[in-house]
Amino acid sequence: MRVLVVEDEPGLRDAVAMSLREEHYAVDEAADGRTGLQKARQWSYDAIVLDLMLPEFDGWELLAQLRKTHATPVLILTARDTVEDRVRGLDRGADDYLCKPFSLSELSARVRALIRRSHGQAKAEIVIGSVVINTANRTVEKEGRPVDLTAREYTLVELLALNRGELVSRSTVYDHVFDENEDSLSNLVDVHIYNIRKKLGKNFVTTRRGHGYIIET
Amino acid sequence: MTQSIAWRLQMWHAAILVSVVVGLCTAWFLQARRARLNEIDAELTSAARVLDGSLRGFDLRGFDTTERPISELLAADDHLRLSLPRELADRRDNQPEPYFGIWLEDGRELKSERLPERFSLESSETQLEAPARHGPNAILREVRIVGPAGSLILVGRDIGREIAELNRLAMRIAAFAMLILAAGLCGGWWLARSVLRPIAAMSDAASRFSAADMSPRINVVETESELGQLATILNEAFDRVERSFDQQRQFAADASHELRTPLAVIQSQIELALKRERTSEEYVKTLTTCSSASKRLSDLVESLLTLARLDFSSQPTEHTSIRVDLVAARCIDLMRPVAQQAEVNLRSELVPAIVVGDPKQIERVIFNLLKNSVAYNRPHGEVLLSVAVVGPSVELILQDNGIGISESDLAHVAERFYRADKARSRVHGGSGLGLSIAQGIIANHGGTMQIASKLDRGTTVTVHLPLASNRPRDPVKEPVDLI
Repeated sequence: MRVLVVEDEPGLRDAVAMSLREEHYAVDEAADGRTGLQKARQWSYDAIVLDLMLPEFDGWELLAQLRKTHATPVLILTARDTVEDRVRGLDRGADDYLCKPFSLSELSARVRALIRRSHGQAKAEIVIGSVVINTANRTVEKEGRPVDLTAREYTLVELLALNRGELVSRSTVYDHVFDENEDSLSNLVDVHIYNIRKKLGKNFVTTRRGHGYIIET
Repeated sequence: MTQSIAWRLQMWHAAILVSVVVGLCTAWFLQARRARLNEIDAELTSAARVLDGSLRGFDLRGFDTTERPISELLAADDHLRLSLPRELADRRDNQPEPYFGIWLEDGRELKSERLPERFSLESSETQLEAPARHGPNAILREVRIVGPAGSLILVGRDIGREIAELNRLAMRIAAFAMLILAAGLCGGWWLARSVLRPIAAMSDAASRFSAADMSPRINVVETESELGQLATILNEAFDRVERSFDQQRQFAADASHELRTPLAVIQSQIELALKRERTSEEYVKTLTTCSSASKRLSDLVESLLTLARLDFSSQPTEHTSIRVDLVAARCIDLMRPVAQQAEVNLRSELVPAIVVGDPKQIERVIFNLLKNSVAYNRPHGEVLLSVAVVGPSVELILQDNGIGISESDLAHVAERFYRADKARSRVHGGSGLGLSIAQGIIANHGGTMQIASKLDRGTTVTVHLPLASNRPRDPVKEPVDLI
C-alpha cells in the first residue's frame, strides 16, 4: 500500500513517514502544496496524509485541485481544530480529519481504515476460503494456523485480497507496493507471488500471463 | 410594565390631557352657567325696579300703618295696580311666571302674588348668586331690593327649567370631553408606539447579537432622525466588535497552530522512537529534532507572553535612561556572525541619543528589526542601521536592499502571525510575532514605526521614539476612546 505524506514541518514529516514505513507502507513525501499535488496526480496512492497550512499553496487548494480528477482517500492532518474547520475539510472532499498533536498509532489506524473502506471492505478481517487476512495486525492465517509472510509478501496479499475478483496488473502492483525511492526489479513481483503460492496454496493466486494477478472469488 | 418608556410616556400624556380637557370644560360650563344666571338676575332685577317705581306713587311714609289696614291703602289708590310688567308676566315660552312680594318697613306684607308655598322671608334670605329653595322640587332664584320708605321688594321665579338646561349642557360637555380624551389617548399611544418601535428593533438586534452569531444589525430606515443616528452608531459598534472578535479568533487559531505543530513534532518523534529498540544515532536524531521543536515552542510562548503583557499595560514597566546608539551597537555585534553567514554586510551610523524606557524591550525591538533585515536579505546584501536625533525624537532607521515586501503584504506585516513567505520564515525560525512585538513596545514607549518597502528593492523601517529630555516625568494619560 502506498501513501503520500504532505507536510511542511520536517520533524513531523519524518516521523509520520518513518512510522508508516515501519508498518510496511510504501511512503512518498512532499514538503509543499505544489509538489504534493504533482505527486498525488502522478501516482495512484492508496491514501494521502495532508497538512493544511503549506507553502506554495495550501491543503485546501491541493484538495480542490485533486478532487477534480482523483478520488484518492485523503486524511487531513492539521492544527486547526474548530468544528467549522473539520466540517469544511470533510465537506470539501476529505475523508478523515485528525488534529495535531496526535498519536502515530491513531494515525496509522485511520490510514488502515481509509484504505480498507476505499475498497469497500468494512471489517478488518478478509476471509478468502480457508485463508483469513487480518489487516489490523497484518497477519495471515490458513486453516486456523498463522502463516509466516515477509512484509512485502503480506502487502502483496493484502493488495490482491482488497481487489479480489479483479485483475491486478503488474504495474498496479509496482505502484502500490514500492515507493518512489525503490529500484524495483521487474521479476521481483514474480518471486513474491511464487512464495505466496507456496505458503497459502497453489490456487490462492491466479496468474493471467501478460495481464497480471487475480484472487478468484 | 410600569418601567416601560411607552407606558410612562402614555401616563404623562394622559395626565396632562385629562387635566387640560377637564379644566377647559369646567371653565366652559361655569361660564355658561354664570351667563345664564346673570341673565335671569337682570330680568328679575328689572322687574323689581318696575315694582319699585310703581311703589313710589304711594304715600308710604304718611300712611299710618298701625291704624288702618293695608287693604285700604291699596283700595284708595286702585287705579294703580301693583303688579309685574306685562312683558315679564306673559312670557314667550311657558316659563313659570315670576312671583313677588312687597313688605313694609315694619314687616307687614303690602302685596304678594304667587309666592311659593311655605314661603318665609327668613328662609329666603338668599344671596343673588345662589338659588333659593323653598320646596323640595322647586329651584328658585330671587332678587330683593330696598324700595321707598324702607320697604322690601322681592322678585323671584322658578329656574328649574334653566338648571335642567344647564345640566343637559354639562352632559354634552362631559361627552365631548370624553371623546377628546379617548381620541387623544389613542393617538398618544399610537405615537408613543411608533416612536419607540425603532428602539424595540434595536434592542431585538442587540439581544440577538452574540459571540455565536454576529450577523444581526439594526435596519436603519431613516438616517436623519436621532434614533436613526443611534442605530447607525450601534451598527458601527457591532461592526467593530465583530472585527476585533474575528481578529481574536484568527489570533487564537494561528496561536494554536503555532503551538500545536512543535508539540506534534515532539509527540510523534517520541512515539516513533519508543516503538522499538533504536540505534543510538536514531535516538540522537530524535532528541535533536525534539530539542529544536521545544526551543521553538518556548520562544513562541515567550513571545506570546510578551505580547500579552504589552496588551495589558500601556506603559513600559521600567523608566531607565537608555543610550539607543549603544544598544544598537550591541545588537549589531550580536547579529554579525549570523550576517556573515548569510553574506550580508552590516553598517551603522550611530549618534548618541537617549530615550527613557525599558532597556531590554528597546533592545528587543532593535534586535527583532535587525534580524528581519538580515533574514529577508540576499547574499551580498546590505543593512544600514542609523540612530539620529531629529527634532524632539530619536530616529532609528533600518535600511536594507533585501527581498522587500510586496504591497499587498505590507499592510499586514505587523499583524500577529502574519508571514509573507511561510516557507522562508520557517527556515529562519521566525514565529511571525517579531514585528507585532516591536510595534507594541514602540507604542508603549510613546513612539511610532513606519515600514516602507518595494519588492526586490528592499525595506526601510523608521522608528521614532521621544527624546529623553522631551519626555515629561509623568506622562499625561491619553483619554481613552471607549468606542
